[in-house]
Amino acid sequence: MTAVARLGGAVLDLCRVVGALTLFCGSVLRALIPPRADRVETWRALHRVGVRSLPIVIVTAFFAGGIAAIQVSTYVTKFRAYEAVGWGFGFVTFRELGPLLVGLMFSGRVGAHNTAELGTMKVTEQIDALRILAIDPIHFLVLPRIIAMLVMMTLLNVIGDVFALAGGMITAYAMVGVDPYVFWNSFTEYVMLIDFVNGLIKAAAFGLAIGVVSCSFGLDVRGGAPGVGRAVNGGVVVSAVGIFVLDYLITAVMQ
Amino acid sequence: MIRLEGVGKAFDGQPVLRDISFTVPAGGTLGLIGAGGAGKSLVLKILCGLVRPDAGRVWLDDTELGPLSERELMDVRGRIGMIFQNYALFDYLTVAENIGFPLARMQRPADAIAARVQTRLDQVHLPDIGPRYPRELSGGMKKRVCLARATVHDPPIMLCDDPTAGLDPVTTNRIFRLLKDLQAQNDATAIIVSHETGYLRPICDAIALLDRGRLVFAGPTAEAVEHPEVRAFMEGEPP
Repeated sequence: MTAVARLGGAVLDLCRVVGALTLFCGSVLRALIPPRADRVETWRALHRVGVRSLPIVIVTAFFAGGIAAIQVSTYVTKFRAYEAVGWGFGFVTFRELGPLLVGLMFSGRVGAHNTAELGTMKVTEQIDALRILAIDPIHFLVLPRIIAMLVMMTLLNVIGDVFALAGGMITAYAMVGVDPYVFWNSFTEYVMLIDFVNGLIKAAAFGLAIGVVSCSFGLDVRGGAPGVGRAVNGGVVVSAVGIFVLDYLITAVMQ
Repeated sequence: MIRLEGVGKAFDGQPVLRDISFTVPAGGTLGLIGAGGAGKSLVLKILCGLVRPDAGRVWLDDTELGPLSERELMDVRGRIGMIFQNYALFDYLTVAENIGFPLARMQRPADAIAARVQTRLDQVHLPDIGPRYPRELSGGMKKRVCLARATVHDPPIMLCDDPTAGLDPVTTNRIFRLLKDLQAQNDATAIIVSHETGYLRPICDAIALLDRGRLVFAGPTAEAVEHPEVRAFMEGEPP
């Protein structure tokens, strides 16, 4: 009976999260007709999300590129297919590893911060203060953040691709002795624009998902400071699950 | 004018407010008192449309809030200045930006905003703290900044949720005097929620006592102090 009750509770929790996210998406979509995101807040959010995330994205992407190069190198050495290393690296990193790792880092860094910030604003009545000042929190706080995360996640993915390429090239040279010229040739010859676009689409979708989930959890905080902690935790978990589900769907569609 | 008629509200099936009715005439000041959890803050949230009641009707001046959409409520809220129990100052804005925020949203010219902000800072006796952030201020200073922000656009209705919670008697006295001055200056209608009954009496025309969601008394201050339950509450006797 306890197991059934637990299962039922878990299903109800899942329904609650999905329901809350659906309603939240509805209010965001309503706010888009006509679009009324606060301009100053949008610039502020773009700056905060983009500039502050840049170092961590660079580090993540550089090492992600390095990891991809190491994995590819195992087979490159085995089959002496040195001219395939750039292709293997590019295919794995641009399509999958780059957006996925940058998305997860972005979720942990920006999404968690966003949930905590909105949650704190909720428990300290700052959201109520906005509404008293005749300001809709969706227009003023939510839309700018979602736009910033969508735009910046996409741009950061492009920057991340550049640093992943550098990381892959350096690692391939240092660990397998692949000449950077050979690496670059293999990369430019076999990696297609669609591979790059595929990664960009994933990055944009992940940014959108992180924005929606982190804002929804932040504005849904109840119960003071412990509630903020729970919301941050829940937001990061749901964002991560959302990233993997979206990755699966986009990969399946674009295969 | 503020008017509530038969207002009730329940959360998760538990009634929190039952059949609340009172009127504050234009330019009047009502002190709303009651033990913690009596529903005082909820009354203020219903008055500014942040929470919709399950029963009853609410009027601010000639506007009944019940039939209004969220967008129409936004316009009504522009006529309200609210002081929050937890300050509710925006952490990422400076004090001057916080105070000028309502005016900036009304798209007033920057120099007019700066002048008005400085006037309000002078009035709350904090002339030099404009460039500082809320996190750098003491509780009393934050309350005064909150007061300045709530009144910077000269709202005709002021709602104050425990504006002196956790403050020392000197600061409490100063806040109440400021409240009264700014209310008189705007000829605003005000409701002040507070436990500081000694400070409330001289500045309120009327007192209302809430007990576990029910209105025990609402009437002129002179009558309130004669009412046995109000007097018992003011003297700290358990209900």
